[in-house]
Amino acid sequence: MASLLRVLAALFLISLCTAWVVRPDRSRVLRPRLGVPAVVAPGESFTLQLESSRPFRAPALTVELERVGTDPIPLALSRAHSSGARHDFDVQVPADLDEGAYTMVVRDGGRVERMPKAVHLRRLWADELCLVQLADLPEFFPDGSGTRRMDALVDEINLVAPDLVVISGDVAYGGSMDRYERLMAALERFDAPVVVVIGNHEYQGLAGFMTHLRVVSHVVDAGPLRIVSANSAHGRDQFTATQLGWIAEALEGAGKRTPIVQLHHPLFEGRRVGARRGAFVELCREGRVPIVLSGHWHADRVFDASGQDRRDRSDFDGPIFSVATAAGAMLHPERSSGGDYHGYRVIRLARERPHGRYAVRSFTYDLDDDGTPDASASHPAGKLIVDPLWPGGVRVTNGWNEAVPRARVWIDLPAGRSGERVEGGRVLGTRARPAGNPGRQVGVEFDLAARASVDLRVDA
Amino acid sequence: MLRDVLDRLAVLQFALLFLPALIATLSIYGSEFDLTSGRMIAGLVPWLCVQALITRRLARRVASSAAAWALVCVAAALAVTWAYRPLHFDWWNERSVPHAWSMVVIGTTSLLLSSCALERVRASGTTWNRGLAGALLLSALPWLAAQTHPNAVFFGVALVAAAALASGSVVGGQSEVFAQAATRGPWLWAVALASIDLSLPVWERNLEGGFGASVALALAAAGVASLVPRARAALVLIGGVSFLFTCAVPTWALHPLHQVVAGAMLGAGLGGLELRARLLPLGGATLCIGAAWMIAHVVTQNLAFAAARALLVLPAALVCWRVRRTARP
Repeated sequence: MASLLRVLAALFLISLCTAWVVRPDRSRVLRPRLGVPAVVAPGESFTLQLESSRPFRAPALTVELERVGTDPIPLALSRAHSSGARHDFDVQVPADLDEGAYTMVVRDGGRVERMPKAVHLRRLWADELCLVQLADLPEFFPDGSGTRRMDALVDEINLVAPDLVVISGDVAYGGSMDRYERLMAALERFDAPVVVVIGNHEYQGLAGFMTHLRVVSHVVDAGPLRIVSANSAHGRDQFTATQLGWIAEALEGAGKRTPIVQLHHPLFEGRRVGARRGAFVELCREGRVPIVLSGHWHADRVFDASGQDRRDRSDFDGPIFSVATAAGAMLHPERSSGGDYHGYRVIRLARERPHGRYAVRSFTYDLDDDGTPDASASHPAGKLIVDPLWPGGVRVTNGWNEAVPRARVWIDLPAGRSGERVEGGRVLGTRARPAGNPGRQVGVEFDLAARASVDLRVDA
Repeated sequence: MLRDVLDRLAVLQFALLFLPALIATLSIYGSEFDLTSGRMIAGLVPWLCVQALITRRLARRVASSAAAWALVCVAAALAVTWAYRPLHFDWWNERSVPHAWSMVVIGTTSLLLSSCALERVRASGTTWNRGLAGALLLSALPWLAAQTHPNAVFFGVALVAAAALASGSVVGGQSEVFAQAATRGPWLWAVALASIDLSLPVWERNLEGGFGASVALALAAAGVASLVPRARAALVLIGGVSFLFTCAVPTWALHPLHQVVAGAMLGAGLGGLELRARLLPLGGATLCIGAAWMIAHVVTQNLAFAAARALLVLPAALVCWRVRRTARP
């Protein structure tokens, strides 16, 4: 019996070593991906970070960019850095590629990983930029109601045509895998690069977040901006010393870029970041962060660096600590200094001379309609509406009391229309309709006045 | 000598490998109660507690039956092989029922192994400290590997099970128990406090595997410290001061020297306990370690109130006072 046991033990050891060393030869891409995109100019390179199941051995990868209606574009890559199971590759983007969003396809042996809208190519960044910030998204219930509300949000934010969309946590309440699948399908519809940070509700089922978004704290460099997304939901909503060190490093490394920080939790009053917030505020001040974006309260609030609730004005000096209302989750009007509505922040930034950094020009909305933006109100959702006009046109209605400059919409082209001319707007170009749909779309840019409607007709 | 080391490693693997890794992983990843796999993994903790209640009788039966033990080990081998098959460093993200079953089987086997090995250690009556030092040093290795693959700690449990089976550490034990008077309270508490300190880098670094090297360093220090019986009181005292210092300077928990000090306290505490008589798997010291670990997470970290750590020292003072009182003629 004893010898039998030893034989069994030997088999046991062999099976374990086989399982450890040989069988699980896999890798998975941490970034770039939807939620943590690479935003670069054609001709530049970006870092592809992945984990492999075998430590100290980088897998042999091939990387391609794909876009609907075009052939896959192979990319040159070189191994930049390895640490244990993590490997960084420098991926070179050809200089002759068109601007826009691409799907990144990574092949590791027979395994293929596709990351829609993981890579965004853009050459020039204007002196005035627009960011849209959402937090506390609609709940993706099985009945599809959350999906419909999120789709409507995506449509109107695409109309605003921001340079970046940042989503400050609480993206899939409960965290079950099907909710994440609905979330990712919705995020894929954004035209702009989307940067997502984790919220406290993601910890109810972290596996869903880790499967689809994978990185809880990250830095995304997008042209002149650096978006620092910090995980404030660890434990009972706080920063650890390790996280604070990471944030300091991220802000120090911004260089000439303007750092924008997003974290799910507000910094002041109740239900806020629990530990090390004083040190965090000081870091933001030293790092010349113009605005720190939060959610969590499902209510509008704005604070200055001293923690004072700024209901009087929003153009004070120093970092702005902004709390956005819920984009679709339940509201808490008792906490809000704005109002009782779903919405998001439209943040307009302007480059300042001579240092070239960006400052916040506006980030609030004139909710009481008295002619001046309120001190803390987000932009209410559901006020920008796109109605189809058959055939080949749309009517865009602006229910806000402020204009939307350089609004953008994509119109389905009817058969036989070229899309060379669109009445009411400037043609940006054409593209294939999103995957699975036949036909093409024409992009139109136009200025949308406050409380106005615009009819856009293709080849009219 | 090697047999001694394996015996002690088989006893300690539940307390030093499986349980901390499970608690840390649950505290980091949380659990999804809407899914069967999530409920199974979350339910593993109460199941282990139930198992602990019946484990001694069960352990004696399994230990006396080679066939039963072989069956358990084959089940563990299959569980580990299955768990590591898709992507061994990250099965928490995959949330499949087979992986949850793997966790249940590995946890059950780990506790059973610990109990069986303890029965054998009790019966053998060999010198403890050198075997303990080797076991502590070896238990550092899976944590070192956890730096790149956090789940390597569970893999380490499986390797220990295989080695114990091959060496006969778990079979043929007698049911004699070296019951001794419980007069070693301060050392027991030193083990608990050291365990809390060891856990801090795990919590601090959240989803990064960087905590693995910290825990490995501490366990290596524990192995060395367990060989120095004359300095035990001093090491426990220094560890206690370090523990309290973290109340004032929480970032001290991230310093490698902190881990060395905490590990030395752990080694001194375990050496002082003479585990063959005192350490019961998930009973006695292990239960104390686990409970204190959870208290540390909830009170001192989750509530962001580092000074609350000082409260954890109070029971040590009570134990010291009681021991002194008992020792009076």
